[in-house]
Formats: sequence, structure tokens, C-alpha cells
Amino acid sequence: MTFSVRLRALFRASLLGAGVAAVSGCGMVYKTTGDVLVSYGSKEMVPYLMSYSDTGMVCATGESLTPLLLSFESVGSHPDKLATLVYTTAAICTEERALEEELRYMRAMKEGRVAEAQDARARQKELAEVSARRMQEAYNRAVGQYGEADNGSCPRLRKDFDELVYMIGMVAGVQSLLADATADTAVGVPRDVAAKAERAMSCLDNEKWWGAPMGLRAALWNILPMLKPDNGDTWAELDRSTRLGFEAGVRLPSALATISAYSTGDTDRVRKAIRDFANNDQDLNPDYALIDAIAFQLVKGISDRMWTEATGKRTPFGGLGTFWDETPKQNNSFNIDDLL
Amino acid sequence: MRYNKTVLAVASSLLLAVSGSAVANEKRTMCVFDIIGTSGDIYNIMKDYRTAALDHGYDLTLKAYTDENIAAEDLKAGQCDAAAITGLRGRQFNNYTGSLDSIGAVPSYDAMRAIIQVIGSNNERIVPHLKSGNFQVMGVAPMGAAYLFVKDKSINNVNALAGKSISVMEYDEAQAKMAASVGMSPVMSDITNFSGRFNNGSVDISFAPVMAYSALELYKGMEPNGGIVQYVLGQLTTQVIGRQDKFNDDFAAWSRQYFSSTVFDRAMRVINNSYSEIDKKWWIPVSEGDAERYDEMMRDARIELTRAGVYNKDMMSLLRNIRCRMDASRAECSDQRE
Repeated sequence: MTFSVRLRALFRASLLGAGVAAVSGCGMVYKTTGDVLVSYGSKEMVPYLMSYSDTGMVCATGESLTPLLLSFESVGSHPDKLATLVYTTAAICTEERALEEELRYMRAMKEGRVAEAQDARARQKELAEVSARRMQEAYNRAVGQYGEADNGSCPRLRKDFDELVYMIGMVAGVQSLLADATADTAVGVPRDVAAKAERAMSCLDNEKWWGAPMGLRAALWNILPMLKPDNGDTWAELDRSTRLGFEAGVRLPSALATISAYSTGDTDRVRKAIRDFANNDQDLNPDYALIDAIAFQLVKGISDRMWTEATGKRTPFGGLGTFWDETPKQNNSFNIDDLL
Repeated sequence: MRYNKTVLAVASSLLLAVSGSAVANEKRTMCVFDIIGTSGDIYNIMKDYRTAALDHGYDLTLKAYTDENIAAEDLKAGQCDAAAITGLRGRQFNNYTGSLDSIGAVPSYDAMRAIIQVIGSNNERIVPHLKSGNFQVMGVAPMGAAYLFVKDKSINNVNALAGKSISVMEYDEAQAKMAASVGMSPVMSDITNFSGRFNNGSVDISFAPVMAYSALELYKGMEPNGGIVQYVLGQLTTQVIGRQDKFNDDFAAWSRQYFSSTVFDRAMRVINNSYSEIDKKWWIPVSEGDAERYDEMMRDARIELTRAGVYNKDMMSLLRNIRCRMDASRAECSDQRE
């Protein structure tokens, strides 16, 4: 073997080696990138997103970022906590689209257009199925990360961030169950999610989280009265949580109370809950503007359903808290006749 | 004269058209019992029923009830023109379909389908049974079979039941009578407390529908040695009961047919989901001999309860005929006691 041949062989070998190193190095780089992304996501991106009140932007972020973020699992990163949040925000999109279809269904029913009503219902169910899958994934990730609460024992939640993820994951679990019912149980979300989420909520500090943990528990007592403790009073707890939420400037408990009243067919209570929600829109907590914005969407969704059922139109712009059959308060401080 | 006839024909066809469109605008209220309210499976099924009903002349406004008793009372009081409630509660409005949930009378989902087909057939021999007082049955849907959930696997035959405590629904007198007849001590319960009593061990046995398994976490009460006795004790149903003066016969006939042809399969999907949630390890098989003995026991109890006026004789006879059509080798098929 001549020197030049040996040199070429060496060169080839070193190229190959560099290639191998580069490939394995890429793996390392990818994992590092993933870890950085996960850490950046929890420390910077989540608090930033939480301060957003633009749910459309947050929904788009959830839909577009989730596959990228989750792909880092295959190189060894652990995005479970972030996955709970991004799947939940991705579900905001499908929930919103499903609501639009439900409103279309109601309008068509009102006008006697049966074929369109059936089409809208079919589309609503398709979207509800996607929502149920996204929210079930969010719930499963939270349980995968922290475990389930059992009678008397709670998962270890080290930081505020863990508590937030756990809480959102449990809410997503309950929502997945409800969306699945709309989708004719196409997903098959296990029914015990409700009881498990109810227990999980007792692991969180109610005051610290604006009354939401107790609000969710009481809302679930309405659905499953057997979960209610002997001394539990569903509406008293919902009222108390709602007040806590208003004081903290995060109106999620008020939204839970509204949903609860709506699903039990208690019309007077729904109207009062919507009015209270609309009247408490001052001094909102900027750090959790997103949670409040989601609560707004939920309440507005119920108001829109009621308006559409009654009038064929959604809530007038800026009219949350008003109802079609109520006359606006007249300003009676002066007599018009005196002016004429 | 001929001219007059033409005018008459045109006028009457116009009148028909007018009355046709007037029917299309009939507004009615329908009260729906769903323990989860507007987000539940039954309410969801009724939303599609409402859409289909609009094509048949009735615009239904659905109202959700999470308390079944209130829904039934509101139907009675005329607050609802129709109500979707369980067969057990519906018995007070129609004893015939109200006896569908009788103990041991519907052993399989094939039998259930056959019964619902009969009800939806609108055969002239069936329809009169579906009307009673000012009420009529406008549809029946399956809600799943009920089984005995036991905290100890050794409770796997009738002899072992004696002396054990069982939670029974307080508004169904058949359950309590049946329990007492085999020596069990019935503990009167309602939907809010029966699962808690079973799960914390204060009763040994719970009589519960398959749907309750996961939602009420009945597996907790079965840990570690319990199970579900694989013998169908009864079938729960949801029934739509309407006021006769609020819905015409054609609509009621269409409605029953809709339940038989469309709702049955959808309800079965929900029921099958409930089965898939049950870990196979819980099922306690029942030997063929024991199953035959239970069949006989259930039959004796049904005959007794029919004699006492709890169950409807004609429905019992229909159910027997369906059971024997499905399996002619059953002991009961050789006599006409029921």
C-alpha cells in the first residue's frame, strides 16, 4: 500500500468517524435542544402565555407547537408537563369550532332547516371527538407525571408550576369526558375520570388557586351527587368559590358555576351567574389573564347558546350579562315631558 | 256543480296544506332525565331525536333534569308534554313497558333488541298496551344490564346470599322483595348513597347497572376479593312517555320506530363502552346448573310480583315468548305459567 493510498484510507476512515460522531452528536444536540426547550417552556413561555388574553393566539400556539414539542420525546426529553398545557390549549381551538357548529345547529332548528341542523350536529360531534382526544391526552400526561390522588394521599407537587399543571390536567380530564359524551362516546374516555379529578382537587390550596379547586369539586357534585361529602353544600361552595375568584381577578370558578347551573337546567341561576361574571370584570389578575379569558369564553358560549335558542342570534357584541327578554334599565332621573 | 266540486277540492287541499304546515310548527316541551344534565349521553341522544322530530311536525324544547323524580312529577303536572325517564320510574305511567325492567326477564341484548322491535313495530295488538290514561309510550332505549356486585367472590350462588346485606333502590319494591325472598337483608338506598355504602364495605352486595362500574368506582368496593356475578338480573331502559293529547298517533308511531331503528344502536355503543371499562378479572362465571336454578327462581319471583300487581301480566307473557323464541330449551318454555 503506497503512502497516498494509506492517506486516502485514513482520510476516508476519519470522514466516516466524523460522520458517526456528527450523527451521535446530533442526537445529543437534539436532546439538549429538547431539554432547553422544555425548561424554557416551563420557566418563560408558560408564564408569558398565561398573561395573554388572546385565546385565538393561544389556541394557534397549542395546535402548532404541540407536535414540535412532543417530537423531542423521541430523543429523550420529557415534555409531559408542557404537553398537558399545550394539548389543553390546542383543545381550545376545537372547542370553539364545535361551539360554532352547535350555534349553527340551533339556528337551523329554529328556522326548520332539518338537513342543515343534522349537518351541523355531525360536524359538532367530529370536533368534539378531537377535543375529547386532546383533553384526554392532557389529562393522561398530568397523571403520568404526577400520579393519581388516592383517598388520603396526594401526589407530590413541588412548585407552583406543578400545581398549575396538575390542576389544568384534571380540568381537562373532566372536559374530555363531557366532550366525549357529545361525540357519542367515540373516544371511550373512562367514566371514573370525574371521581378521580374530584379527589385530585382536594390536594390543592383553594385560596391560592382563586377558588377553582373547590369550584370544580362542587361542580362535579352536581353531576355525581354520590361524590358529595355528607356536609357538602354544592351551591354554597360554588358561591364561595365564585367570590374567591372575583377577589383574585381570575373568574374560572364563576365559569364553573355557570356551566354547572346550565347543565342542570337551572335557568334562573344561569342568568344570575352570567350577570355576576359580566359585572366583575374589573381588577383582573394580569398574571393569569389567559385563565380568565378561557373562563370568559366558556361563559360567553353558554350565553350564546341561550340567546341563539331564544332569538336565533348570539349574544350582542358587548352584551354579556344581558338577556333578550329583559328591558334595559331606563334612566328616570328626569321627565322627558318637562323638556318638550 | 262540477265547478263547485273543483272549488271544494282546491279549498280542501289548501286546507290540508295549511294544517300540514301548522303541524310542522307544533311546539312541545320534553323533559329529559340525565344524571349529568345537558352534557350526558341521554341528553345528547335526545338532541338528535329532537332534530328528527322536527321533520315529523313537532318542535321539541328539551329541558334537562338531574333528578328523575322531579322530571316524572313535572310530566304528571303537565309541565312537560313528554319526558325521558327510566322504565322503573315510568312504571307509574305505563305498567306494560314499565315491567320491561322486571327481574331476570330480559337475559340478553338480543332479547332486548327483539322487545324494542316489537314495541316499535306499531302492530295493532301492541299499540293499545302503549296507551294508558292520558299517557303513551313513544320510545324505549336500552340503558344496560344490571348485575350483582359482591365484595367477596365466594358469594357466587344463591345459598351464599343468605344473611348478606344488599343495597336496593328504595323506589323499586321488586328489588327489596326479591332480596328478602333469598334471605338477604335489603338496605334501602338511593342513587346518591348506594355506591358509597358498597365501596366503604357497609353492605356486602350492590345491585347495579353496568354503567355504574366506572363512574361510581365500584371496583373499589370489590377490592381485593370481590367480583361481578355474570348473570343478568335485569335490564334498565330509558323510556319516552308523552301526553296523549299533545302528540298525535302518527308521530307517536314514528317516534317508537325511530327508537327501534336508530336509538337502539347508539345506546348500545354507550353500553358496550361501559363493558370495555370492566377488567375481565372481575367477572365471576356462573355454572350452567346455577344459571338454570336462578332462571327458575327469578321466574317464581316474577309470577309472585305479577300476582301482587307490580308487574304487568301481558308484558310478562311477551317477554317469556321472546326468551323462548331465542332459546327454546329453557325450562319455562314447556309450560304457560307466565
